[in-house]
Amino acid sequence: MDEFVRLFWCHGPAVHSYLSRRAGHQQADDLLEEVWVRAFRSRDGYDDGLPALAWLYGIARNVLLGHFRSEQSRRTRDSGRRDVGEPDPWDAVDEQLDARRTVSGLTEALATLSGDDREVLLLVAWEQLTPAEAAVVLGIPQGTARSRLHRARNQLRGHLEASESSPRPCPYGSFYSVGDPALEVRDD
Amino acid sequence: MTDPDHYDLDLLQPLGEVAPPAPEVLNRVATNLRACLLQDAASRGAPATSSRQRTRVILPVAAAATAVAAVVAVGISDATHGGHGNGPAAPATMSPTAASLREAILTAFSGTASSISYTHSVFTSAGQKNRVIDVWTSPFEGSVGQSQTRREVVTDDGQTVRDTEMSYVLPAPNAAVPADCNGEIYSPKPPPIRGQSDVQATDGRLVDVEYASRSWSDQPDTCIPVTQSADAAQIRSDIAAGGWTVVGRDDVDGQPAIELNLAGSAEPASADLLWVNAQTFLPIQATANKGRSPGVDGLVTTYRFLSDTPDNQRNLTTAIPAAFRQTATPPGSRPAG
Repeated sequence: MDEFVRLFWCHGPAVHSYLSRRAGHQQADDLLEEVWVRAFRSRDGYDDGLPALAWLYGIARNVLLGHFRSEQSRRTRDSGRRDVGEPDPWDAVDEQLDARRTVSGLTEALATLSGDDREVLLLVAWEQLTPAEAAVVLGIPQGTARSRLHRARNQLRGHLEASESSPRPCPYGSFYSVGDPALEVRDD
Repeated sequence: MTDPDHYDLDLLQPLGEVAPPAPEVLNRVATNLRACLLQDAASRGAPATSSRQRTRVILPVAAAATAVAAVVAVGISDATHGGHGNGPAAPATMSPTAASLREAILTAFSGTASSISYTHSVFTSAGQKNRVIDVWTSPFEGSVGQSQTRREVVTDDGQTVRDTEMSYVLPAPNAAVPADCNGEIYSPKPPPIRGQSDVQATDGRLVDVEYASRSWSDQPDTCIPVTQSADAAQIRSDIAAGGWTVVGRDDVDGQPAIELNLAGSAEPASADLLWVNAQTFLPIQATANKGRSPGVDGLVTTYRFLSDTPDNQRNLTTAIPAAFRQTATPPGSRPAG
């Protein structure tokens, strides 16, 4: 088996997961081939000092951005509105997460992060990359990746702590919200 | 998580849980990557000059191991010739793509196993074209116990001499030869395959039309040879055996092709050279030279794979001319080979 095909069998599932987390399973099926064909075509430019998986994620990221861009163009065209600039891939991720109805507090917290910070955070959290590898994916200096990760962590933690101490909706009705004295039922 | 880069990020893990890719998705991409590899190897050579003139490209390995875990690149030098089998033999080189190619060809065969294979074989003797055998087989690759139908039309110097339709159940490879196969076989017997002295045979139905005697017969239970020289199933077996070499890229009647030399096959091969389509990896053409069959100087077989449609199935039925009389036994004992 050729080395490149072997490389695919080694990292193909991870690249699919990367795509699936950001664009959904179905889209990942469609985009996976494009990522690998692009990787094959650009293999001569590969720097052998780089981790292969990070290099592949970088290509997957570009394929995703192209996909989101064309999706946005299509939506803009369909709605008759003007283009509103660079797409935010998080919109698609958010849709995926909403679809699965997972921990809403976390998705809200992630949504408050800047796109750049969030990307580093998710590469480290989901793809299990080191900040140095995330830097390769994004084409940024390692120091920048570390500072973005640090900032994202702090912001995420802060958001979660704040949301934990804020009033939560009562499951039994709006009058019984916990911690809101104005809505406490009075006996008088 | 003790890794300082990942500590406290466990809470994000559930959000990132996704289903793994389906095997068929991975297989599809892997197959297309193999096609890319092979096309890349081919495209690094000079383009074919015309569909008639073949361009052979030798494939020595440059083995460019790049860091993507040593991605294979293939360096190619050109050599053009006016037709295969002429001039000095090009040095055949086993390239790393041969392993992928084998896998791609076998995958392509598996993908088309249920189709109808059509082979057009031209036998030449002393440079004269004197015999053509057209064979349709459905399904071209059946499993043991599966029914298979085959039709063979033999033409000598443009005149149809025999048209036979055979239906049988595919026997196990080690199945005993039926007793009636020990005697003379009336059904068309293919030229012996080099290195394969005993042709696998089984009992089945034979509808046999003999043009010389203007007669035909319907034998419900007679001996039928299952294997056929250079037929698609035999070529598949040759490819699976391995040991063959990649000669280079070529162009066969406008189709981008990869030329293989089967001479070094691990098992005696049914042809000398084989061309497979560079995109579908199915065989296009095979050639065998003198020594393959007694009395035959050369054999050129072309392959097509037809979808299993009612129209294509009609090719499997013998045409019995109205004026021909039916006989109880096969009228001609002369084997087709």
